[in-house]
Amino acid sequence: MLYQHAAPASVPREGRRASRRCGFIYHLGHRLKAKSALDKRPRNEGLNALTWNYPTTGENEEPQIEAVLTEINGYTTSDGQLVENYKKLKADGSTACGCWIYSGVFPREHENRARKREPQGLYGHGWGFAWPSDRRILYNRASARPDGTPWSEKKKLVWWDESRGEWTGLDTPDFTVTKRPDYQPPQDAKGDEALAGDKPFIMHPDGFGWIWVTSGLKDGPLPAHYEPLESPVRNLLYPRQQTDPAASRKERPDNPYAASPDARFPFVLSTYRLTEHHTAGGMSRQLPKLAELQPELFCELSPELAASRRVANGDWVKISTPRSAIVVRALVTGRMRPISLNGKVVHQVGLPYHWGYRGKSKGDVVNDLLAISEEPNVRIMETKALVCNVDPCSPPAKALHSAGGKP
Amino acid sequence: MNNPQSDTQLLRGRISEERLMEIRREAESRAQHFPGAASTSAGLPARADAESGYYALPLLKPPRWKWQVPAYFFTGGAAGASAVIAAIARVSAKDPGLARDAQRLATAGAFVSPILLSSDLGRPARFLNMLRVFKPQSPMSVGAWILAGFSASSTAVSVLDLRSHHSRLGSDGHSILQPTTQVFAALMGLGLSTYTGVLIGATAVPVWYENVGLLPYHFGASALGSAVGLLELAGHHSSDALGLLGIGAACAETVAEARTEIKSDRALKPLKSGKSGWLTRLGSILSGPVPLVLRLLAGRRSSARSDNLRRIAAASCVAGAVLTRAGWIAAGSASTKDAAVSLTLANGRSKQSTQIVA
Amino acid sequence: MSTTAFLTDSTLCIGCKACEVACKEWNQIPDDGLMWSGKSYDNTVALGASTWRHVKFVENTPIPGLGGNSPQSAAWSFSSDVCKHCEEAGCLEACPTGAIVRTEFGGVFIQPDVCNGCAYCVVACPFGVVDRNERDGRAFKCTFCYDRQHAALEPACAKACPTKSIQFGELESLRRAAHQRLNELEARGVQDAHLYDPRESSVKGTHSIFIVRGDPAVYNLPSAPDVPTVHLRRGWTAAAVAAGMLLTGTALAFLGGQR
Repeated sequence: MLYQHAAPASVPREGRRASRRCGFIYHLGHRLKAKSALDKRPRNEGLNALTWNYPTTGENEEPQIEAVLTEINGYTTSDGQLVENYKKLKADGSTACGCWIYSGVFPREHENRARKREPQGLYGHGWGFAWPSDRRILYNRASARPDGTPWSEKKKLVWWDESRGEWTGLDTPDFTVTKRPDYQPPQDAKGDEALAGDKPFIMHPDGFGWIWVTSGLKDGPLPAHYEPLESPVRNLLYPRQQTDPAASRKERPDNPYAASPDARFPFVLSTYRLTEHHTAGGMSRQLPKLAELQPELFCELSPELAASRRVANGDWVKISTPRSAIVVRALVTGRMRPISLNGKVVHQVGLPYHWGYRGKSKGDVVNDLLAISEEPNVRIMETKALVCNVDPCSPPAKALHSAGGKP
Repeated sequence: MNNPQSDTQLLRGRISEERLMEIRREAESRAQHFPGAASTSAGLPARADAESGYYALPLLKPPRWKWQVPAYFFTGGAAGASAVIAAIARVSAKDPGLARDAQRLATAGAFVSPILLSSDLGRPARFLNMLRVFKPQSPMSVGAWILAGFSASSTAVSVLDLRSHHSRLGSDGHSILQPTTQVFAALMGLGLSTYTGVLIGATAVPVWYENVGLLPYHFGASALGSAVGLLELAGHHSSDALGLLGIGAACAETVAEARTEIKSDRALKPLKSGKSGWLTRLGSILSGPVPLVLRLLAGRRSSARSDNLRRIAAASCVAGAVLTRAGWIAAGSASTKDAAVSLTLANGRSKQSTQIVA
Repeated sequence: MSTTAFLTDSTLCIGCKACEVACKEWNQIPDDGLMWSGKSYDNTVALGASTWRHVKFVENTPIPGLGGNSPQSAAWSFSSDVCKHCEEAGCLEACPTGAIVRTEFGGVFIQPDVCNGCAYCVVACPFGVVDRNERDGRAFKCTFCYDRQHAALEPACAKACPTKSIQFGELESLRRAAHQRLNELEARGVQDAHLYDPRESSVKGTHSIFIVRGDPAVYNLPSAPDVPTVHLRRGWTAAAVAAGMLLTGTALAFLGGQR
């Protein structure tokens, strides 16, 4: 959704802030262009060819946002006329467009749809601009049967209007508007023409939604249940295939894995976030007004687990995995619950992971506990499902931690 | 690292096997069972519930005053009572030396007290802001004006005394001014020695407001006892009048302490236990029964023995007065930290209180 | 001129603490030090000289199968505490310099240029709100965003609250809104929601009212708070009698025919 805010009051020169990001980039661009104009090496071709003229406004010379937005919308290069939507864009250089998905946000002069605040209907048309072309629900052709009539009267979204020969409805159709529902593509059709009139998933080459993935997924074609790379239980569904065979474990002496199950690491460990800190915590731990809201790394244990490990609320505990161990506070809470898996009691330990060795609030790094692994498709390591052990321990000797309080 | 219990012991320094058993028994009584769990007990999370309130955190803020305030209660009280003694002694004219020394004590206190009080302010330079307004509903405002009046008038009395002494005019030259000022100082002194009881009594602190009817007597008797004691230690240990006053003050203190000991309100706990309990009880004993007995033993006839007894009684009164003030401030601090008391009292002493609007 | 107020509806609070941070940012209040409390996610612990909004976290045993805010039980409840701006305020009555005043908006305000840090207000507040900042010397508490109200803006905490749990407006209309909300909740099956508005007590009602589930004592909200001026009569009477006894006793001792 593109949504343009009203400009705040004019900011004094010293007070430029993130909200004036646009102005910052604009002036930075000019400074870089000034430097590259004096240096004609091939590496500066891009900067020297860059068109960077925007009308400015105010004493700080902020570029007019509308000028940037119209460029993003797209225009015909000969006369600067704004294009109505992405369909009017051509591949022959007669049009220019900043980003096709936003094309249509400024379809004609004085019509800035990102600033509109007149919502109509259930889907908010008239309030901001949703990409592409203000379609509010993607693939909305799927709300109609193959013959073009809605699957449900109560939930109808778009439908084929025979008298007008086009798709219409409560949302902008995410479909070629004039394509009949019974359209069958000729043999050698390409692009959009190769998709039949009953195929809503227009970004897929065959127009279908996919459960069976013909290509692209390394561990396809069908989804299957695999246990995490470290698990307290065996894979009940596929006893002979515990984990995803395409996952990369990168197993080395310094990247060991627990067995599944492993008596040394009987508990499940998962990681999550807190409201008060931001991602890895590097920024929020430096700000006292955020750091004081959650000043220390802690783990969350159920009362049952805490009792069985002789841990009282507020005690220091050592959480260990095959890779490493960290020392954290224990927060005993009824929100954590043991699970019964196939008659076996499995305890869980929760760890928010916002801490590091710098900042007003310091703490151990939870990532030290994780293994380096790669999911086959997006190559991200497994952070949410591990096994661990929990032991009470003495408080850390070094002042790696901020001033400790007593619970 | 291999023995979790010893690590925990090391850490907590005080957790014991009994405490662990206690935790398990508590948890068992709450019947937190999980089928198949290794143990049926539960490590307890922090509790916020209707009995203990919000994690048993205190509802109130403790007093932020430091040693200067109880010290001021002592000096102000002694000075105030001394001004009353000075005025009446001067009227009776039987012991001019005593009248003079009592006045000196009053004036000395009149100097020291505002300094003590101002030095405890968060912004001492703004001490005069106390005189911006007069708010009868604020005991501190009333007290600030009493102190101002007392200081001014006591100083004036001393200045006038000094002038009449040096100019050898006798008292004719200031026949109206001096007595008037002295009477005014004495009246202010009456206020100064008793208002401090109202000052701490009319607050939200349970141990203080529960005793708001007792504290003015207690502090007043303490003030009188300490004024008498200081004057006796300064040489007037043979004065019959002081002796009687001393007995009177000690009686009042004994009665006050007896009343406190008899009542068994939970709110009075800081007066009977902990550091504050020691201070208030010791202060009361040294202000009440001890000087009472000593003074009675000393009798009315003057002798070396009776003089000594009276001097010891005097020292006891003074020490008792200091400890009493310190103790009551400490009691206030302890009282605000007792979450159970403040919440119970603030809920109208009854869990069934239905003051909330549904 | 109107009596503005806060309605803090704990049934809408998500415990995000935006109110705490917005208040500190707007009023330029420093942090309180980094102390982990172990009391659920509440590391702020109490209102004070440098905390004027405090989100309380109350955990009840979750019942499997029930959602977090179900009618039968609220597993994890949050409530944002603030100065009550009492109708009859202990701090205001106690202040000897006249620094604490009632503003034209009905709030209780400490004038920082007058306060000399005597800390009498600290022991006069039945809710334990106001405190003296030991580094600065003066007493501080929620100002009800007096400066923002002057500019016809709502207080920073109300502005920041993403769920409109903190509502700001005219006191009577907020009271009506609260009752409406209680009816709404009851219609949904929530039987244990209450409005905390101690009008029957000696503080004569507050300009910060709260909707909480369960017993307000769980949130340290006393059902019968007292403005300490209720003790004045007994106190001054005792002082007068004590003073009388002191005077009489001294007179008798000196003038009763003794040496």
